[in-house]
Amino acid sequence: MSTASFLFPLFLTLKVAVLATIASLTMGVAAAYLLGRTAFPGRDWLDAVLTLPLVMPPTVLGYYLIVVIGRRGFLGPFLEDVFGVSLMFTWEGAAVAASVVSFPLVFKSARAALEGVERNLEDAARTMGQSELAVFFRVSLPLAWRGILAGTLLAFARAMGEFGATLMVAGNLPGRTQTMSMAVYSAVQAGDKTLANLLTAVISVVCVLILVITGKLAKPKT
Amino acid sequence: MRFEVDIEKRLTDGTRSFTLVSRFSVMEETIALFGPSGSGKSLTLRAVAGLMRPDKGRIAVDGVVLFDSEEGIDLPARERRVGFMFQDYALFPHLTVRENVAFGLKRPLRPLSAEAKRRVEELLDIFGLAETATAYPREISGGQRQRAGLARTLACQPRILLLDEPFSALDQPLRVFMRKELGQALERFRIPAALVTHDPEDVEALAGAVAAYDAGRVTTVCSASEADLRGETLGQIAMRGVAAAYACESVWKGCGQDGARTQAA
Repeated sequence: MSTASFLFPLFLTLKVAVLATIASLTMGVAAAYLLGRTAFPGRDWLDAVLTLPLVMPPTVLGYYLIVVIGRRGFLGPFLEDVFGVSLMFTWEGAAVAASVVSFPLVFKSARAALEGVERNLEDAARTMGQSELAVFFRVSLPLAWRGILAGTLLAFARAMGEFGATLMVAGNLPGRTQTMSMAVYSAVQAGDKTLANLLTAVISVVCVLILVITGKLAKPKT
Repeated sequence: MRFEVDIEKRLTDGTRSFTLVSRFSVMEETIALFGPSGSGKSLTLRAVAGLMRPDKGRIAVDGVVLFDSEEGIDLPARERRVGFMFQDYALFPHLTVRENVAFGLKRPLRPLSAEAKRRVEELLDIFGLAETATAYPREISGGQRQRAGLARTLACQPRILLLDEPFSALDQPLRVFMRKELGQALERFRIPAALVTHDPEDVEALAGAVAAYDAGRVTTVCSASEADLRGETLGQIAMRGVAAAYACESVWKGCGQDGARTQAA
């Protein structure tokens, strides 16, 4: 086992998971806010579609992503021409896959948290001359942040452990797209028990920590 | 002050439906909207504040039109300068008493102006909240919560104060005390007010006019001076205005049309 074979996946995983968490946090909260505020026909269906990555097999999601952002996908050529990025077999692709998979965790908890904010409090702010933006940042968000943060931590854990969709989109290229969960798989295949144990230990500790913190956040303030 | 409300709103919820026809025009400084639960008083208050959009009609306070469906006027709540005190006061639980009172004076990304700070401290002082200014709403008493809610609303200098059952969260002895205090505050700040209540004592103690609601309709509108001429109190007139509500089984249906006897224009 070489140090690089442990450190590269560790840092790549952190990079991918942090980026994916930021993406799913902003988009998840925005989607939760918009869906909570507006009523339109088909809202429940949109909600279901946005939650889909939570229950679909990651490989199926990965296939969807290939269809959309692959070299011959709907958006693939556009991304390559305009931004000069190809998401297939790159770490950026892994970040996109992790974002999609972790998105519903933020979305679902943000929806529940924002819905839990008493309507009267937001209305009170409106009667005191506050714009919708101010109502969100001064009332809704400060009262819903615990739930949103709990969902964000879960999203981080999920992004860190992403395997199926990432494999389909970014592959398992050592030194390029090999994240920790990929590295565990390869290490076990290659019979490198030391590396597998080390990676597994790190992932387990981080996940336990995240779950403990999420549990504390979920408890009401005393 | 001239306070004119003439609105209609139809609400449907599955099988039930409720029609609000809210119509009155008064000159008195304080009007009580009186009636049983679910008769449309609070809904009217929310429409005045811009928190509920009527199907059609007109709302004007002192000549300022807040809503007029025919002219396409519908000011958003934040531009109405209508103070609203909720039944449970709706104090922000994540802010201290002082921050609650200062809430409406704060402009985005800027600290409070010296003038605003002075006004906040003055209000805290007037309402006896100076010592509890750094406490959170859950840490103070019911009476203090009501004072904080009132101070917070007055800080924004609204053109009218709307009070949704201001005493329902208080026990009886405190209610008597706070009723007196509210009357003094209204006088001190010289602010017109509309107050939703189902307690005739609130009407007698605070209101210069009353609009009685029953099943979504205004059955009676009367001022204190008219009541005087008739040798009655406003509370008695208010009670008679809603008597029909208690003769029917349900406020949702049945007595609506027939119950509305003296539709006031």
